[in-house]
Amino acid sequence: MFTHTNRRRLARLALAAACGLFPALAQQGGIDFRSSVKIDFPPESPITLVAADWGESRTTPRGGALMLDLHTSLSLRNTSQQRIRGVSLLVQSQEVAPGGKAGVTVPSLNVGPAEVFSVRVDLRLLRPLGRGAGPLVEVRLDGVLFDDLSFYGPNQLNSRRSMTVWEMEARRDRRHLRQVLEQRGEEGLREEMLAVLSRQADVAPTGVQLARGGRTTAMDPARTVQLAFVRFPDCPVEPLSGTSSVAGNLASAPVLEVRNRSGRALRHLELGWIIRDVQGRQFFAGTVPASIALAPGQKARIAPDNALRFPQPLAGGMTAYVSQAEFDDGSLWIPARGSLAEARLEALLPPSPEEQRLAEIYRKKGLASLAEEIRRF
Amino acid sequence: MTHPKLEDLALYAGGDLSWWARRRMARHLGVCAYCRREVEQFSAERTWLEDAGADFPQGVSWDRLAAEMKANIRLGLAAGECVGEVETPPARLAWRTVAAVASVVVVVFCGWLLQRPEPAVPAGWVLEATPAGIGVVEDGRGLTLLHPDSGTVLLSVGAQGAMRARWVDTETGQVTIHHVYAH
Repeated sequence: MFTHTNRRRLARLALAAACGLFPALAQQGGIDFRSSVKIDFPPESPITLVAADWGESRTTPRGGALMLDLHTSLSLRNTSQQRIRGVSLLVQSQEVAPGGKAGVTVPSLNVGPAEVFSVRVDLRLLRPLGRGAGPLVEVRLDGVLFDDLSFYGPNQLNSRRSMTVWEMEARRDRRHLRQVLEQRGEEGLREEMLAVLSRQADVAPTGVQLARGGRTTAMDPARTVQLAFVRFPDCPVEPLSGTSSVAGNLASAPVLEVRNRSGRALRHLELGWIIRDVQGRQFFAGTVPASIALAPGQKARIAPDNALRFPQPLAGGMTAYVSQAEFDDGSLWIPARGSLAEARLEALLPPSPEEQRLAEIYRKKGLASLAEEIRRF
Repeated sequence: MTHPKLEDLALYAGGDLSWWARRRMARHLGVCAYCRREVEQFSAERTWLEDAGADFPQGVSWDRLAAEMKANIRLGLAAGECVGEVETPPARLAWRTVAAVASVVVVVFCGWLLQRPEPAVPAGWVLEATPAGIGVVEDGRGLTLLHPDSGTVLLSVGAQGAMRARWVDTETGQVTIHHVYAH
């Protein structure tokens, strides 16, 4: 048995033994954030890195793993002769997430030549203790979109398409709001912004998971649900049929059949997906993108093998609509505002990034500042 | 007076300090009775540990002991097999007992079938949205893009294996969009 003296002796021996351990622990926690992140922009890039601030970065041991919170604000300069509308950065960590990649995009920009703007990169890495030397994360330029919709960059994240769609939506929404301002004055603009803020508040909840495979549960038997389609008259793609299986709070991604009804070949399309929960509330669940070569008149089947788990149980009523289509020459189609309003989809869809930005100006600076911003370009 | 660290005193007591550090420590111990006592205690404990080790029986061959234990286990198994099967009269179960046992088995099986735990989504990567951010998680490792605690964050999921979060940066007024991809 341990007497008091023996216990004291053991404690002192443990302390003496720990003497050799302290330097090792210090080495584990001693992360140099600057060398942990490699920021790599090509020399001919239209933007250059002016400065990087690593203010609040820190490491925290968690069990047998180390959690790194990396926070940086990158100051970037537009070195091109054109105005920049959007920038996308690729964030990759081969050691921590070998199968995954991430991106940070700032759309709805209006940065003139030689002007400086900032992009925040806030990320958390979870990795086993005592691993690795060299940079943990690489931040690279994926693309820059200019005001004439020309694009520069390696485009590994398909930033060209995403940023072009957001810019087209921004122009569509600004045009609509300018019309509202001209026809109904500032009061009309206020009503529009209140509607945007209301849609924004009604967002999809957190706690959503997406995983490979669409298996369902034993307790809630899966049932197959037919999708209803919203059809826009000018849409180049016609949705023909679609099903999805639902069990409890799990929905497998829909299996869809579509036809190219335009006279031009398509290379990518995306469908929006709306689900109803058991309380009868409809919400925007996500998108079903598909990169498929589709000649005029040709049909195709889209069947992603993924499942979405929502925090709330689902009822099963589902609706889908074509949210974007990309032609073979790189030009894009998006639904007009009038088509969305006619189909009563506007209230269900999240606001566009530009609507979100303008609503924030209205909320923080008021109606006069918003009207000025809308007239600006 | 500044005293040396306790771990340095322990290293000194064991003779593990470098030559220069030992000289400096000896000079300090010459004038500090408190630290001298600490060093004496560390030395005494070292002696105690050596004495405790001496209590083990002398001349024991641990390898031989392990071999003997293994042999005894094998011998026991072999002896068990030599005995052979013991003939026992066939059990006579009444039909009522058989029916009762069968009923219990059916009830237990049905219970298991109904209460079977929900099969997890297959292992591998998972994209997840939490209040802190969106990330890709795989085998205890993960990369998460963090979004701000306050303000409205709009989430969207791409069924091909992508997730997006977007919000307005309160400092710059810019819309920021995070994406994570699982392939």
